[in-house]
Amino acid sequence: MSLKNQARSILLRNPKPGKISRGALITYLQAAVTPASRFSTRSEKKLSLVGYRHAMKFFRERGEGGKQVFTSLFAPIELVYALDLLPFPLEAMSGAAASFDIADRLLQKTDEEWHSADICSFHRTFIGISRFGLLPSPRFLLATSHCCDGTMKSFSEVAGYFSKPLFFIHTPQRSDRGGVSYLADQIRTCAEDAASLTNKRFSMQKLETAFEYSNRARRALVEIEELRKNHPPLIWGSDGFGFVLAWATFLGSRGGAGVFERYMNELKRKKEKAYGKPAKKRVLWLHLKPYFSNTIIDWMEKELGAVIVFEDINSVRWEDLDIGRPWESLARKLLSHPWVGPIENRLKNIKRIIEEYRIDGVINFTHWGCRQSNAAERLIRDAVSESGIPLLTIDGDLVDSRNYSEGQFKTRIEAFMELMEGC
Amino acid sequence: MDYKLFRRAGVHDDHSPRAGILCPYTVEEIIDASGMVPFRLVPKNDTIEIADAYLPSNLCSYLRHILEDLLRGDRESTVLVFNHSCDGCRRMLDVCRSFLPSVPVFMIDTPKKNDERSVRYFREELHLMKSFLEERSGLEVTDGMLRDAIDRYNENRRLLRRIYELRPAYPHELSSKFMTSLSDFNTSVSKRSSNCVLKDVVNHLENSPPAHVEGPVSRVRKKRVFVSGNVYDAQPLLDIIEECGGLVVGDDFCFGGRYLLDRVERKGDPLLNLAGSYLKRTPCGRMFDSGKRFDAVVDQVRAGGAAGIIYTSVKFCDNFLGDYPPLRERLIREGIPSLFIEGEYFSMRGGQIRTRIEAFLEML
Repeated sequence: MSLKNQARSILLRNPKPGKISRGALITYLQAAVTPASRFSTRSEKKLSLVGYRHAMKFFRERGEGGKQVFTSLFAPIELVYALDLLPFPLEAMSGAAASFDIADRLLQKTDEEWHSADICSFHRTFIGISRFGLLPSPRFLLATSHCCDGTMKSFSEVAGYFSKPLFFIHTPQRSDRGGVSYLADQIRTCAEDAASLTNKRFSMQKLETAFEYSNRARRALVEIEELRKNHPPLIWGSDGFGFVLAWATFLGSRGGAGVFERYMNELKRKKEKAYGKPAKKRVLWLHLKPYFSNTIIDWMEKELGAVIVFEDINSVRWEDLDIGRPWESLARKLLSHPWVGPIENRLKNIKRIIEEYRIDGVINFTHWGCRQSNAAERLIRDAVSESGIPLLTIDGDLVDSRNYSEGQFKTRIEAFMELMEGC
Repeated sequence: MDYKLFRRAGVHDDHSPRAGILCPYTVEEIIDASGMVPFRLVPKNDTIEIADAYLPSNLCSYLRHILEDLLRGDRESTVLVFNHSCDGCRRMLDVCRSFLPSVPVFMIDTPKKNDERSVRYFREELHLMKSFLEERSGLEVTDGMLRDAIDRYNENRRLLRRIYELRPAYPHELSSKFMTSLSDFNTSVSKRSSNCVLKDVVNHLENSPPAHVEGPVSRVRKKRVFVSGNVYDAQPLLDIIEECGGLVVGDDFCFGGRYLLDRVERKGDPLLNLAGSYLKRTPCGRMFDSGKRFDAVVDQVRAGGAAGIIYTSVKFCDNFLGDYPPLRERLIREGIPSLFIEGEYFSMRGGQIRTRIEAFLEML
């Protein structure tokens, strides 16, 4: 049995976190995250090490006074860092569970507890992680209605399970003055309530520090976006997919700023030395990638030469955070993501990427339970067709591997490659 | 109870332009004040042929059927007023704007929370909705017109509430079939017409002896059940329950029991009053605090003397499917048995569902 499998079986056999020895957890994380052979670049290794240290701190904290905060993908985590607490996005936890091949077992558990299999598997998996006893008890939970309805329901359920408060932020659909002001007000109230819950006074000085780190990371990410336009590509999609989960965990921390700056510097060096690997076709990927063990992305990029040069979920469209207007600038940051608001925002962003990144074809992964993205498939198809390039829609699940058929995916991608070559 | 009451009033009781709505969080008073008749969009075609090209099959079938009707040329609606009820509704709006440009659509961004700041934001949304309707109707909606509409709706809800209060005592007159027809009628005509009919129903009931006089448990030898759920073609399911020996004593459907809200205050800013009342009503699955809905469901089960709950949801509805596991846990703690049924909009019928309901009723 491999080290990873051994660690996995230890975790799954233990029904309560208290019974998982620290040694087992460390072995598991080390087995899954740190082997040097996994990484193709130093930046990727740095990201994994920062993630590993963060996860270790997160799991080691024990007791009622712990620092853990469960957050959602686009929550304003700068607030959490300003309170000296540790954010961890539960969606990333589901992605990790899938990559460690334990998600199926967790989903089986939620199926047995009346959670519909039609609901997003990211949400069901982290409900399973909580109920399986693999998570420490958080101080509180912080979630927004950014992407979907499921976030509110699943976070409410996890909050109920741990009997901890959930600070929920309704993300308005309007980005005008009224929308910004409503959102800013909610963020301010949330900061005050979280501080009061943790018996602290909210420190604007610490928020300023969190903003500085967040802004450093943002500038690096914007530069990385620019560098990713390079031909040949300097970084492949298999690396880029990790960015959104990294932002959701580290924006506002020193480690986060360091990771993205290292990526930026590495890409700059690659560009100067013309180290980019040639790509036969440049692909834009919509939504996330399957996180369970699979070879599809590597195969597509290495064997077919269809390289993912950008992922629309990674779009950084906000300005620097301004400590002079902290709540408003956080609100503007939250509202800047193209997935918020009417579909025109996302379509406009897709068209921009197609043009700026000289995209040859678009792959839209329609994750089974993701209503907001799936229901836009026709509109996305029409928008991409206006740009005169082909689109491949792949129906599947990003976390649940139980219905995954690699052969089918490969056949479709091969056909898509032929289509791109014919264009 | 005489169903001719509904027919007599007529579905198209006047020639006012009609505004199609999907969700009970749509503030109908503003539509009414603008001279339009708000009406609930109910699917007419039971097959989906065209809409599948625009929305995926793993999306709420209620929305897909409505889109099918619209794409097939249903022009009953002069305008459409949607809510940000769910992700599916948000995308339905996007599809309508792109592929049905001839029908003006407005979406109200209804907050998921009901604190004071959310109420103020919702008021801003209602102001935008009012401007949209004024532009379409060519009528300036004054505060006085809004207050008149509030009066009509307050009266309508008072009468409906009274009928719901009387329902457990009049299980034969207020059968599920009658209640569904009543709900369909009330959400398809102007409240002026509807209120006349509802008054007749209340008068008739108040002058008839109830089916039982002792306590909340009926002498009728049927198993009393409460039905909870969202939008779907409810009548076939309710028929099955009653054919299997059940008696539906209450529901919290979107346009049924949950349609009721407390009296809206007349004084002061009418838009602010409406925003507060709509957001603070018994919440539905789309709202942040589902716990209050669960409380209301348990209270209604107790008040109606129901022995169990049948919880239904249209497939792919994240809000209502997500609510079932915590509601089930709550019901177990309360000692209330529940049965969960999900299906597509027109599929809440058939042998399998009948067998499950029979088994559930036997168990009660």
